[in-house]
Amino acid sequence: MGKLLRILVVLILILSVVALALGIILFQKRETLKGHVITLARHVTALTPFIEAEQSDDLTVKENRKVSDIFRESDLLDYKPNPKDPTAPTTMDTAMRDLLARVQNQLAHLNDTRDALARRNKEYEEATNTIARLEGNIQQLESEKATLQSQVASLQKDLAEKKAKIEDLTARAEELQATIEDMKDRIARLNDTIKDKEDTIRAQERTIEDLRRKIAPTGTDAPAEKVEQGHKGRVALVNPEWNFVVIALAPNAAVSRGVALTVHRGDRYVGKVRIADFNDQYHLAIADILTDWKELEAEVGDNVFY
Amino acid sequence: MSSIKIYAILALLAAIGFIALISLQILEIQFYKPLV
Repeated sequence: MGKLLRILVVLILILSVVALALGIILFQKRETLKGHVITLARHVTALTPFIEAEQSDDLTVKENRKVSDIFRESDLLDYKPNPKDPTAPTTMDTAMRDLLARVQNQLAHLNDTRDALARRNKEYEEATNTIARLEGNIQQLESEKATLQSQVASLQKDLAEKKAKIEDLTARAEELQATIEDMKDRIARLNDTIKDKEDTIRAQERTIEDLRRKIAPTGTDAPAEKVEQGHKGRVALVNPEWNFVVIALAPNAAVSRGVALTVHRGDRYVGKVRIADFNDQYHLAIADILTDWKELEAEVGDNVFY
Repeated sequence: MSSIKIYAILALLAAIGFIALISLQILEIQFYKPLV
């Protein structure tokens, strides 16, 4: 029995040493685990200033409220369950779930921002292309503007030339108007002269009529078919203005009114005259020049034949 | 019963208790193994 008791005492001693060693190992492990938990809580708390509690619709706002304003490190270390409701989530669980939800919200917001950024980038690219196209259009318009300006300059030059021509033509028109006025005055004067001449003609016609009446008593009204052919005399006077000649009749040359005589100069035919009146006493006859038969101008000395 | 027998029984019980304690400590160490 004594021997058994000694064995048990030795066994108990060995077991106590082993239990002490295991207790020391367990203490170290608990300390390590506690360090882990505290470090984890501290670093999670250090993340909270960089997690937004809520996001605004404006993507450009930077000063949103942070989780650090509503989060405490002690919440992460409070893992004690509620004695009244052991199934209820602990304070640490609630804090971590809230933190997870806010992180998810921030990630969703970040993705929305990325989508918006992609759209903005696309719009920016389109705007850049539009600007490039507009710059090309501007350059084209500037070249067209330069062309139009040169055309305008050319047209202005032409306009100045046209104006000068218009002024010149206006001056010439005024000169022509003055000339027309002058011509009208001259025409009026010539009309007056014509009127005077017509008066003179009428006076001379009256004179001729008087002369005819004076020479009529000595004339003969013998018919033309009784006039003998041959030399009838010479031209004694030519009046081209009144288109008649005075014929000095040859002796014994008989003529009658209305007889058409032929006028020759040498062997050249000059024309025809028609006896208007004659005077046997003075051997003179007045004959009208027949212009339809006229070849040459009658001159004094031309021979007259029938 | 003699006093030696009583001490022997108490020593046996202490040994059983130590064995149980050591077993629990070994189980706890195994439990902490994934964390630490």
